[in-house]
Amino acid sequence: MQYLWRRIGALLVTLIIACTITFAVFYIIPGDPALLMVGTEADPDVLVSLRRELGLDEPWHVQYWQWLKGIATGDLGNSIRLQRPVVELILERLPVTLGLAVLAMILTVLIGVPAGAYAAAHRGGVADYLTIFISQIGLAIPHFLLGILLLLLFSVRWQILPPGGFVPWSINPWQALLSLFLPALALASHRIALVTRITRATMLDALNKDYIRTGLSKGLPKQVIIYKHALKNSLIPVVTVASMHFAGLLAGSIVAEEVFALPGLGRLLLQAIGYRDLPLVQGVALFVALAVVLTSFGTDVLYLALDPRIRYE
Amino acid sequence: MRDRQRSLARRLLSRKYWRLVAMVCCLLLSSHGFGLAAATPQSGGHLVVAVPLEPDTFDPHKAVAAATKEIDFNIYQGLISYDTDGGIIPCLAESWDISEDGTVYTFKLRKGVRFHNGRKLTLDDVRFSLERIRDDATGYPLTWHKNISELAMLDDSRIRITLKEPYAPFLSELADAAIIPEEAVATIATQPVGTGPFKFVEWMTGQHVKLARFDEYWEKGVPYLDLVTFKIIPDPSTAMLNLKAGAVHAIPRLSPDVAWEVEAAHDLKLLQGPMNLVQLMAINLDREPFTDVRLRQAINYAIDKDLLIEGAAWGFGSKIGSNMSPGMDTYYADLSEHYPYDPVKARTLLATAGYPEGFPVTLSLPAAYDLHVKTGEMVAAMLQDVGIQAKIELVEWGTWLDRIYAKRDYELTIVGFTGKLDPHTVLNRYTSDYARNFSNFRHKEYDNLIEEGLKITDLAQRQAIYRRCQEILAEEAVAVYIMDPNDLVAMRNEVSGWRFYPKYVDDIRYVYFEK
Repeated sequence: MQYLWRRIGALLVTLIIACTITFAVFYIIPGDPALLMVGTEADPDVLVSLRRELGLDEPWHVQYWQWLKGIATGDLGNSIRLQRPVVELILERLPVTLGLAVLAMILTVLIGVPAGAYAAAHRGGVADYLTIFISQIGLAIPHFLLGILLLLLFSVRWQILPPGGFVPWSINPWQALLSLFLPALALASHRIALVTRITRATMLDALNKDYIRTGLSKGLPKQVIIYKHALKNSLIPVVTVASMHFAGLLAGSIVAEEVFALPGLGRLLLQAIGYRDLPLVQGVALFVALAVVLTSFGTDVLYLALDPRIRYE
Repeated sequence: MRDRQRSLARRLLSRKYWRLVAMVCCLLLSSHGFGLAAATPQSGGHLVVAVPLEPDTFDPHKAVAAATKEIDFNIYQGLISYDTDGGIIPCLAESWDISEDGTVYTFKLRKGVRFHNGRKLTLDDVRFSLERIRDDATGYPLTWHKNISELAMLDDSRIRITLKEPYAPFLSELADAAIIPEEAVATIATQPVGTGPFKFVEWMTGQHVKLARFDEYWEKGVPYLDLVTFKIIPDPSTAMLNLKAGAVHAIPRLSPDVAWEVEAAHDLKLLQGPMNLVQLMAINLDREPFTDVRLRQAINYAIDKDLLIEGAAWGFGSKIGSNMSPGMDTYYADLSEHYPYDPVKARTLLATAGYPEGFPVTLSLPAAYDLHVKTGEMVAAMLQDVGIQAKIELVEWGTWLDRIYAKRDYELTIVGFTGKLDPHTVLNRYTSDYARNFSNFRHKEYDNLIEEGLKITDLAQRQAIYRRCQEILAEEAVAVYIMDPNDLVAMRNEVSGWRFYPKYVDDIRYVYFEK
């Protein structure tokens, strides 16, 4: 219980720090949202009235205070450029980003963990070298390049998957899944390689442990030892890395969303920064901070399941 | 450097030559089929157009983003409109009179026009819309309304607008004053209702804006298409892949970098029109040593514009010599040869101005605009050639607008000014007291000419005035006026009827599928 309170306290502190930093950065970097909206054709009178309407003529501490007051009531304010509630905009983008993150994570775990375990179990064999070689490529290839290559093959050459864009889950879940598949694969490539290598390394470590030798000597089948005992005990570092990546994916992937024309959080954030849309940037930053903290909480719970010896006080 | 430039030029020229050959062949091959198709446009079909940016708001009196205007041109209309060469044409007003002194405009409303919600357009809607624009609380992007002294309805089809003082660009600016129905105002930002050829269906943020054919549209015979989707695709390579896969039918304002891909694909075609954009290297006239006109002229002589067009815009552009695009041919003065490329003369001018060894200078480039960055990199090398040590500084767009454009903190920068319909709005930015005169150009004769041009409605006189203005800008070497890049549109072969305008719009009215 005390543990839970401590986590909630940490959560609040993280959120406040994240927001304050975003807010401060926006006051340091040059750029004026009103000027960005009207561009080179700006008429000075227009700017003045636009600034007043957007509330940009208030001093910074008034703006910050109003924003904090808004959060307390669950109101993150309106986007300056899109003139719509920030919460609405984030919720609209969430199904894409969440879908992409979950799908990429599923691919990462379903491919990375078995591949790493298999490679470790057959150390020095052809499969092991092949796994290392492929994962090296996966680590080296930038995901925007892989994205374009996948599009070129699957969407232009073979025309079996849509060339970017997104079909909402509510309209057609199958189409939604298809439209997220290539970007998830592009995003996952690097992570699959990483998870494969970590699983392989920790498995090799675990296979040298005493309990494995004990198991072998008491005649347990090799498969059971490797895939049940050794694998389960090697998973903690894998879970740590995977959960960090999952939190990163929840922040949205700017590059993948640009390449695949997906309406996710990454693009929303990028646009918001470009237009100096402070309320929107704040809102997304707040959401990302929340996602990171919640993910790390989820990870802690997962540790419990993997290793019953772990206790949180 | 010299040799490298020359061999680059030769390579580019030979590529241009082959492109020309290819284009002629295509024309010969397709002219027969094209003739047939053009005679009988087909109705129906669903066109998908790729656009790079999200609209801001569909409230036509508040929208400022070019990304919105390119779409909402199909939804909203004003009393007047413009044709492909920028000439003013009737739209919701079927005719108008202008008083002798240029202050009283009387418009006659077109009959039988309906809004997308089915209601008939009346003069009350015109009045309501213009009043809404005049209201300070709403009408911020449109400033000319301050000049209106009175709006009066003469009968149920005529409205009279009286101006405080003559303002020649009034008609052309009225083209942007969308007429909207009062009952739709509350939700107009997300549920637009207008009188245009297409009515709004849906806007899924970050994904697309969908429009459908408006069956009761007042112009006979158009539009042809049933549905139009503007698909938001930020990445140009992805847009191109979509076009190749057939998921997109047209990409307006294509980057010249990928034009070769279109030319290489047998099922795609490349259309070109003038962009009506002035790309220039602005010079801060308040910074030493640019107060000396000889140095500004030296810079002008040092720049090889032909090579810039070939190297930065892949040959897709027209050379200019002052602050106007050749697209505005009624007022355009051809000054593109005013400063021919002459590095020897540039060095001589530098020497006579007291800088035989050149001087260091910072060239700030807006990083978001690939064309300007590429142009700038070549310009820096050209300046280096005559001894001016140009250092390139990349600036994020928000910072550019704030620091360079509004606060005028720069030495040299490259940017593009988008097209306007009236020469006054194009050239007004160089008057001494204009708030965004970021070149810091101050010239008595120029100011007087611009002032005079506002009050004159006679075309010949206006032409003389604005041509003189362009000459002054060239003579004073206020900037290096580089090019008007071509507007490139990539399309699938089966799409026809695209029209180019001197404004940033996509007119889908006349577009149709050939089969």
